[in-house]
Amino acid sequence: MSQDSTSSATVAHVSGVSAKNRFILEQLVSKDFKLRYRRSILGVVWSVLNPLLMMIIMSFVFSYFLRGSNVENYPLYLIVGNITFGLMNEATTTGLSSIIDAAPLLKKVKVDRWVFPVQKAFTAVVNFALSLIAVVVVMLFFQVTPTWHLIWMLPALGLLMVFCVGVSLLISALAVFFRDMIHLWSVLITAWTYLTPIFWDLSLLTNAGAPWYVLAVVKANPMYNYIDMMRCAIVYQASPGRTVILLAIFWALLALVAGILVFRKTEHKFILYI
Amino acid sequence: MAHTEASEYAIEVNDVSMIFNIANEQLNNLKEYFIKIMKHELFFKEFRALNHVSFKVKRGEVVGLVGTNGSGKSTMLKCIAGVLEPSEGSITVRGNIAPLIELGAGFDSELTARENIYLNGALLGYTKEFIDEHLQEIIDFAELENFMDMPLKNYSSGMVARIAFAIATVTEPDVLIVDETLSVGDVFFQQKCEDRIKRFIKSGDVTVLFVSHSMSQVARICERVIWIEKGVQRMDGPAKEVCEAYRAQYDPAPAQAQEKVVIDRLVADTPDVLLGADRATGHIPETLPDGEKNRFYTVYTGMPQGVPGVKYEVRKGDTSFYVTLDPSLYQVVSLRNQDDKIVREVIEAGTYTVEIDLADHARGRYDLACTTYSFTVKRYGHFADVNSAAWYSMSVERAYNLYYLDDTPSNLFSPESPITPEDAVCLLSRMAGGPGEKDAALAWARREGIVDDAAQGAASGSGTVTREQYAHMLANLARAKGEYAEAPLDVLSDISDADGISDWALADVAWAVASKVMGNGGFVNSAGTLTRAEAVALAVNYQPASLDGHDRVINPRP
Repeated sequence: MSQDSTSSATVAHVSGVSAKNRFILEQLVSKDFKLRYRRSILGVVWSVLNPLLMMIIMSFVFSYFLRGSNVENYPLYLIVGNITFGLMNEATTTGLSSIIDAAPLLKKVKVDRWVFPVQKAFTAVVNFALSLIAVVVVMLFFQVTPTWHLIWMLPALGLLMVFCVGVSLLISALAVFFRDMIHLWSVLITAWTYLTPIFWDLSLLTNAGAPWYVLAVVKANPMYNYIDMMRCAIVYQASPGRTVILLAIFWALLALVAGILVFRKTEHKFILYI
Repeated sequence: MAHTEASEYAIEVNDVSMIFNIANEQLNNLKEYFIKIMKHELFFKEFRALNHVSFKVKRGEVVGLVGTNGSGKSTMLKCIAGVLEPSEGSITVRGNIAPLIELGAGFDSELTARENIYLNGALLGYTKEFIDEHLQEIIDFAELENFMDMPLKNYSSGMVARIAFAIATVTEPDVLIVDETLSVGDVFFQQKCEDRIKRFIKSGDVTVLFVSHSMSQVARICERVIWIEKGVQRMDGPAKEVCEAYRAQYDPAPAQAQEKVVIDRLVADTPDVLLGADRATGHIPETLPDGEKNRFYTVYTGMPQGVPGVKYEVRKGDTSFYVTLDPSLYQVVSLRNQDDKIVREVIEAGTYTVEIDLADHARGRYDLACTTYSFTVKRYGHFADVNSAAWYSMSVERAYNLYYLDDTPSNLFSPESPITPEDAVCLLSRMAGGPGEKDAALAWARREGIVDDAAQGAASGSGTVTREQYAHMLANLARAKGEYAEAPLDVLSDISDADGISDWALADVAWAVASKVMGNGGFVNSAGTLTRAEAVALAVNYQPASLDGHDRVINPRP
């Protein structure tokens, strides 16, 4: 490549598409992150403070309500569930409108479209990582010592990310054609929050003698599996059950395949609708 | 890197078509969509923005892309830049592209300039190390050293463009796409940008795709031009040929002119009179120093106005000049040629084509609905030897239109030559609704008492008429029509040369002055010889409308 007057030996352009996309992803994530906390006094501290405050308020009420269940360390149980679900919530909700929001860019610059929904998942993970500080604080407060089981966090996080990327790809593509998705998704997320044992425990259902299909739905719920894996690693200090792991893998792959298929099939038409 | 492939072509466009489906209604809603599908009511109208376009651009070639608005140029550019994917056909671009299509496309207004440089650099495919290394160079070029840590939302559009241009061109690209919207920012920065682009062109390694509406600019910069019209490739060839053909489509054939403005009075010998332009400011006033309405001012009021900062290129044959509209005035302020000098040549009769282009400062902020515009300049007046700038041209034309004057064989009027008594009588006879032939008019004049001894006696000898004799005839006509009113002689006190009036004519000249037929300039030149132009002017002053209501313009004689 011919270099002009610039006195550099550095190659100007990245070689290969993946390197370019990696740099774009990096820049977009850092942009989102910078913008989120720009001009706020506490800044990043909010990422820690937010789940912590949420946990304090919720456990203030719900710990009494959950007396009958076999949850031992309710605040820790709650915060892990909250931030895990929060990760999915943030990744998919921001991913949902990522293509529409990137319209000015997509109309003028050549850039791979999948970068935008994927980037939102990464931003959510960065945020999740910061929330983990809150978890550490809670663990210190309740003097919970982690064991090697903590390692389960990584596959849980990895699978959840794959799941989020898949869902984001799918819904972001759909949202381009049907803006209803944006409203529909917020309803779905709210329903999903209640369907998932975040502040309640499965034992409440079994104790109350819930019919098998209710239990089946709750257990098949992808978020139950990811949260359960995460709790096993942090709260229970145990290995997750085989079914949970398999279901977590199954949902992640299913979401990813569905997402990629729909996205690839429709992405050529995006530009005409955004 | 991409261009290790040994191909001499940097851009290959193979049979590319771009089809947009325009839905018969906008459906962004799931419910509507399903209802329509169920009812089989979902129809799309196909719109081909590009129709089987093919061309190849060699490495280092500078190619212009021309076409009217909506012809598919931008779609083509976007396809080449990879933003749009062609519906049919394929496009191969070898090497990296610096698309100067829309500057600052990837910018986020909340981020600072420094952060935006990295973000935009990533989108352009630069490496992080490269940006680190060239950050200072970019800042220097943009000349925004002190504003680097300010959010972009506080920047002016010119400042944003500076940064965007600096990033996009920090390295020599393989393919440079330049859209005319590029010209933003102040003159100095524009110059800097142009220099950089020229350096790229000169290097011979950079393939340049240049889009502009300005034919002269395209012809100057490009070697080869591709003309796309309504999505179809019309021409591809040497710049000169294509530009000429492109222009030719709007040239003469007045029948095809989009819109015509017939300019009534536009035959002037002196450009200063024509333009009335202030030499210092180039401003054309509404009225000329002599109090007359500026013809050129009215000439262009028929032009599409209301678009601020429009530059008109007026062309006829080989000559062209620019008209620039002052954005705050929405009026033509100057006619300038390509060297930016105010044009002072005569504008001849004929059909002109105006190429309308946004002035630099309005680019990117406004869009033009139409870019070419035709108007016809017609010679004003019936007589070829009556200069429209002359003081009497209005009167002569008026007299002709009111049938006070008849056609002459060669359409010559000879305004400055003395009028014969016969012609003067004919003129008055026609004006009063009498016969038009010489002998009949003379008979009529005697009968009506227009010509009496005082007038005829003096006239018969010399074959000319003095101004006071003519005033006497007009007064006689007024008497015959019962319109004469005795005027006090002191009206003549305002006339500087009142001493020269013959005693017998004093009353009649006083009447003429009082009824504003003559002496409007403060003198009457009473004994002077009456010219044909003066005769007509006085007649029109006396009776500016036809008695029988006939007017060649408004109500022609049957």
